[in-house]
Amino acid sequence: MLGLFAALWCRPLPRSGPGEGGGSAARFIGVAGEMTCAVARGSGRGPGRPVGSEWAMATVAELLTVPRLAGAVEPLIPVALDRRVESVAVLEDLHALGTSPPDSLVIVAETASREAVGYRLDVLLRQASARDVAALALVREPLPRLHRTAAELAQRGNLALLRITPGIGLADTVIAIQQELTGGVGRLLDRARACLALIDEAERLRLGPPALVERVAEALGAEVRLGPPPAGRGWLSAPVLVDGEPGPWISTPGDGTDADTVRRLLLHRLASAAERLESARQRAADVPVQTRAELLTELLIREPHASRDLVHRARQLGIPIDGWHAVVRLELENLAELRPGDEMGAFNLAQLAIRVAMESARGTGGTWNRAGTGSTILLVRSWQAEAGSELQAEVARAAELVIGRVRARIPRLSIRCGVGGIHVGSTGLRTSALEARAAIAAALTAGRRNVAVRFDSAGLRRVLLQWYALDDARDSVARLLEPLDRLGERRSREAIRTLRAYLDAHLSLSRAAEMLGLHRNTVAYRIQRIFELLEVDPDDPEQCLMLQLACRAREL
Amino acid sequence: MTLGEPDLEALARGCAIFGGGGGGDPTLGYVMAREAIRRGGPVPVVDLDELPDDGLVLPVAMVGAPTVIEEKIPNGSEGGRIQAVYERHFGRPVVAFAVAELGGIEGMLPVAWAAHAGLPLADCDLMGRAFPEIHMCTPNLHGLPIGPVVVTDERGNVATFTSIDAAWAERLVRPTCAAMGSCASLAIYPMTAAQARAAAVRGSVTRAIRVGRLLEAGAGDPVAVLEAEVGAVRLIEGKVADVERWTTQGFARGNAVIEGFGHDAGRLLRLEFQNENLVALLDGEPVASVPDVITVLDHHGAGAVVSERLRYGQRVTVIAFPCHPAWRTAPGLRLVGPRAWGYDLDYTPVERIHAARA
Amino acid sequence: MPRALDLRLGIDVGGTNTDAVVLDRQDRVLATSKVSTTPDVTSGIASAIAGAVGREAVPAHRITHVMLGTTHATNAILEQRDLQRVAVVRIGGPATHAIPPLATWPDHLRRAVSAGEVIVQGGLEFDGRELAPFAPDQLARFLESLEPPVDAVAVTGVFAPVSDRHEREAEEVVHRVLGEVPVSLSAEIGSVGLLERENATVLNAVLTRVARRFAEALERSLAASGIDAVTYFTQNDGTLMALDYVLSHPVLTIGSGPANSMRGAAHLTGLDDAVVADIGGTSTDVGALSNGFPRQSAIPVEVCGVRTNFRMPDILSIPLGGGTRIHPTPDGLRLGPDSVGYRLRREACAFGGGTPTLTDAAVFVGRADLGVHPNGTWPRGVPWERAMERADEMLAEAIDRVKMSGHPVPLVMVGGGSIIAPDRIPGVSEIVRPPHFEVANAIGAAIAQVSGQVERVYHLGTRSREAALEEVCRMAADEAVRAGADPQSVQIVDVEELTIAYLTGPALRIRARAAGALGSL
Repeated sequence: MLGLFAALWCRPLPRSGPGEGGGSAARFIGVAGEMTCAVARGSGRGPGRPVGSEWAMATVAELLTVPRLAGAVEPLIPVALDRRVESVAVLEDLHALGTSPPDSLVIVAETASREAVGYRLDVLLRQASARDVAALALVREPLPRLHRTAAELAQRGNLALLRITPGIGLADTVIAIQQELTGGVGRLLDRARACLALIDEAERLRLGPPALVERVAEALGAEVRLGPPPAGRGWLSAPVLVDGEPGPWISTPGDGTDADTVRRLLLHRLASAAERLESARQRAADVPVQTRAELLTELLIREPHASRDLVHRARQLGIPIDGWHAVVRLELENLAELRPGDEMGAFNLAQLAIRVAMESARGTGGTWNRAGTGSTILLVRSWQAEAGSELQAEVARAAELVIGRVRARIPRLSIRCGVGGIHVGSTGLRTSALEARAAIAAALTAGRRNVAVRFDSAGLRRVLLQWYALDDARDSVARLLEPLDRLGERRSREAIRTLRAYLDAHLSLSRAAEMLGLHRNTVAYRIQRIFELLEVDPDDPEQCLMLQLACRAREL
Repeated sequence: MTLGEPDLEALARGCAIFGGGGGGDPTLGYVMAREAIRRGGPVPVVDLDELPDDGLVLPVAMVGAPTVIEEKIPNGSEGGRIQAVYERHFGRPVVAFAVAELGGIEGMLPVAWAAHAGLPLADCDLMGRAFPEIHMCTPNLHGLPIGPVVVTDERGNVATFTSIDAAWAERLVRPTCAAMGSCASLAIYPMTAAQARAAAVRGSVTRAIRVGRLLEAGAGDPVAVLEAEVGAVRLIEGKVADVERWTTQGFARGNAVIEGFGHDAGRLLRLEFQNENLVALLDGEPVASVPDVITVLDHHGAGAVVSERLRYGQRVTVIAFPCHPAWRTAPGLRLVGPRAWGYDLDYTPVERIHAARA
Repeated sequence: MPRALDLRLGIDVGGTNTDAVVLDRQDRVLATSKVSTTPDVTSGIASAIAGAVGREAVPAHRITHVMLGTTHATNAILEQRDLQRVAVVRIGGPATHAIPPLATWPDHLRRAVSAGEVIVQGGLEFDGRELAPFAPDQLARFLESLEPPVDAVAVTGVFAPVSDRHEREAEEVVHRVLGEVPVSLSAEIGSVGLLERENATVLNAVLTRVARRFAEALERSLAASGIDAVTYFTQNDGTLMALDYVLSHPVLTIGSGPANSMRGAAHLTGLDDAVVADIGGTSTDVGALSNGFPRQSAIPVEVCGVRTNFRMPDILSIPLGGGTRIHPTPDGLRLGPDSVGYRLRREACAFGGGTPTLTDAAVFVGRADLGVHPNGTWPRGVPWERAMERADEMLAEAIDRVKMSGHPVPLVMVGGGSIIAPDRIPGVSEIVRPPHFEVANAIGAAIAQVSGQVERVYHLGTRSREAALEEVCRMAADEAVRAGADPQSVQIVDVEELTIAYLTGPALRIRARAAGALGSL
């Protein structure tokens, strides 16, 4: 390892481009065999930097942005990152720090870094501060926590403390840093190469143009803007075309040297990448709507216990499945009549209705998704936070609007519409869908068309009475509640009262307890027993709905 | 002098100072000593010069886990049993017990055994402070054999070891101690009074008692007392800001950070310990190290704080004072200098460091 | 017939005052009352109850649970009232003879409570092996030799926290020889540390009659007030034990006052992690709350001259209070430690008394508004501002000592002397002064959870650390349920692991605490 270093530092360093003053120099310290420290010093102006700064040095922060170091070097604490670095050196023996020059970045080789822990790190930091070293880099795996005393010493000495991942070539690292310090076209080319790699990756990752520009600016170590071309001299710009129309420009400062050629090439490559990314983004925006509708439909069709993965996918697609939902169900009754014998025509009519319905619904504000197939449209309105039942009226109004708009586009279309209640989660989604369907059934008996009918218990009471009047219905209720009736009249009544409160409270134990004036634990215990006795699955909304009806029927 | 019940408290307090962060909680030893004195009478403390040249002096100690010692308190007959073995072996009477390790519980136990046996306590010890391993004793530096080492437990088991050197004795004793339940009593470096005069640290017991008496609660500035009595220097006065602890190979290691206040505001002291305090670094610079004694004093009158009782928020003053000169020799440093503990530091006597900084 | 939780009555019997509060299910304070503690304790309780219960909003029949915190046990020991005669049994021979049982006790106390002491062969090593076989005959002979009356027996085995099997065997022998006397087993009382645990166990046995009589008196008071409720007592860590648990573990009620006050203060503010400062007339008590529970003291706590390893709150007491006197000295000033105490309203300058106190300093610097201003009757030459600064420093330092780390924490301030405290303190993120702070103790009792704490030493030979942890946590949860917690609400609140140094095999000392809401038994 030592021999390699000796060879490296014997060669003169790359010369800087024309128009730049100064040269670079290398020095040995010590003799071969005892050499513990090698130094590279950079000087002279380098291109690619904003006018007015010092060329020959870089700050610690700037060094961290060197492409070859990206991901391999990180600061251990946010201290002294603006400290200027003049030279870089490698330390093989912890005791040899005494020869390090001021304002240097001292890289502690891996073996020595392993010893630089605990109190030894403290001693090293103190000695480094005394020598006015700018930064100390340790080659080691990430630390869980930096000791208080070490952090304090680094802070006091205005000494940056860095970590280099083990395994990367130390020689390459030193060269990269040294190049940064010297400046020159070489540095810019290096960075430009990294930018091109970034652009390729960005297209693969489908980044948006602003994100891409930001990353390129970071990798280049210079300002890159996306927007109207800046006024003032010295700026290089390239246009981004969107659908053949001129859009924003990508610009970066130039300095009038050969390096500007490199910059211009980079800008044009960047601009065409931005164009491609933008059109890809626009296309992609359309797809999710389709995918979401399909997913919601499937969720509503499938058995509850088989839907877990769908719920997960729903979350990934950005559907707020865990929030509160109300379902508006629209059944298009007479499509076949409007397009007799023309299945294709009927289908297209349905598609038109769906599009208009969605647009109208979205126009009323809020989060809407759609589901359903064929001539049944389900519009799902969702809320993130708990939505009070008064919002159901709002949903009904939206539904009315939708009906109006669809019928305006497709006259003589007959629509049955039911609006479900507001419920939470994927189970709630199903419940609301069921309620919407039930509302339609109720509407049918009343012969109501082309209006939005809300599911509410008052409206259903009549239906309940009619239904319960039937012998079959009475038998069903009796059979369902028989296990509770076996407990005896008083206890059965208590149980049914408890069960009704629980179901009415949307399965909330605390609210049921409040309603009943009981302790929450008591309610939990009772409900558990009741469901055991009844052999009913509390997660199945249809069964629960049936239970709710049965409980009410008992009280009729 | 004669050591009676009233002197025990002072002895305990002094032992805690010399313990340098280790030595364990002296309370148990104190109660044992008190019980023994109540049964057997006060214990005369005699200078080695007053003992017959070839009289046998027996330094005694306990080994094992402090947690176990707190549960399984000794029987009280251990000292007598050990004494009988040595008298048989050497064909001579034991004329005095002695302290092996001056710190915490180890400084008090020999008092108990001396009282039980009706023998005096020699005014000396084998370390001048506390160290965790039995071969870290001054007679080792004089080439005296550590053995025979006699180990006994509360049941009456006795194991006698004759080892080729002190390090081997340590290696043999530990497993036996573990078999006995991680708690045993033993004697090491049996010597004649003549040998002890040259090889032991003299005057330890009376010194500890004197220091303990001077440090009686509420009696002036403890640091000033220690400066005068043992040449202590103040390293820092501050608040414990962080404590880290972990166990390796059965030893509790760790470090603490003390944030200075008052005159020491803005300074940070890093204290490294392995039961005993080993190295103190002030703002990254070593200001005291083993074998010198580093002790943490509680501001609120509780005396010395052992390392396992360090806790965030405690107000403390950290002091350091010179060890016995025997430890500063080359062989001494090889045994107990910083490098022996794995610290890559050269030993500098604490008084020299502070003269240079002043 | 167990009743669902309705109104809770919390009672705290302190050295000076007896407080009572009534809380509803939503933890709202419905009534409070404060009376002076009476010498017989129970009449004070009855008065306090009368002051809080019986009004319109607080009918006696709606009180379903009563929680009581009391210093009765401590006082009984201090005054040597009603103490039982206890046979002290230690299972540890041939070890431990160097310090016999009760060797560290004050003579008068030991004579008053000990019917005899013995060290019996037996006990364990740290890994659960036998130190020596237990000798039941030796124990039987000792018990037979004792002069009656022997009211209770305390049994302490070496390393009983690892396994209590010898202690249980000893219990059987006691029952065989002496019949049904109460037996206190050390494994249920304390943790590793023989002398301290033994002391605590003996104290426990000593207090069994006190506990029974007190419980009976309490039941009578409650019945007389028309209250039919489940009764709990608070422990020194601020949690509850059901009545039957108290009768067998009375010693755990010692020191519950400070714990109750801290938890009550915190509950009123809704903070789980905070420092609590109770600034009184003469002193300020500062403690730290972590996870809703007071931080326990790391050093052994002495009860009436007897060293124990109780789980008591770590309270730092400094001589700083509303009545602390300011003494000007040639080179500055001295604060206290003396105080005018309850004579504040007669002696302080603000009340025309002429003795400079911190309350006066607070008035002088404009911190407290008592409706008076410094005037001619106030002594000259008193460095009021410096005194206030010094007091602030003392308070800040005490808070810093009690904190667990360097992060700023909220401070809950209670106590009549809190007018002397500043509005901002370094290291404190916010200062909260809750309402009803004067009955914080009783509130702490009323809102307490039921807990169980278990400490075990594990030799990690055949068992992994995870398995050991799981077992201790499970045992702690079971303890909590045994003490009366609702099994469904029990959670592990705290787990502490300590590796044991100097052992050649790995050994772990694990302490776990579980707590849960009141169950309806």
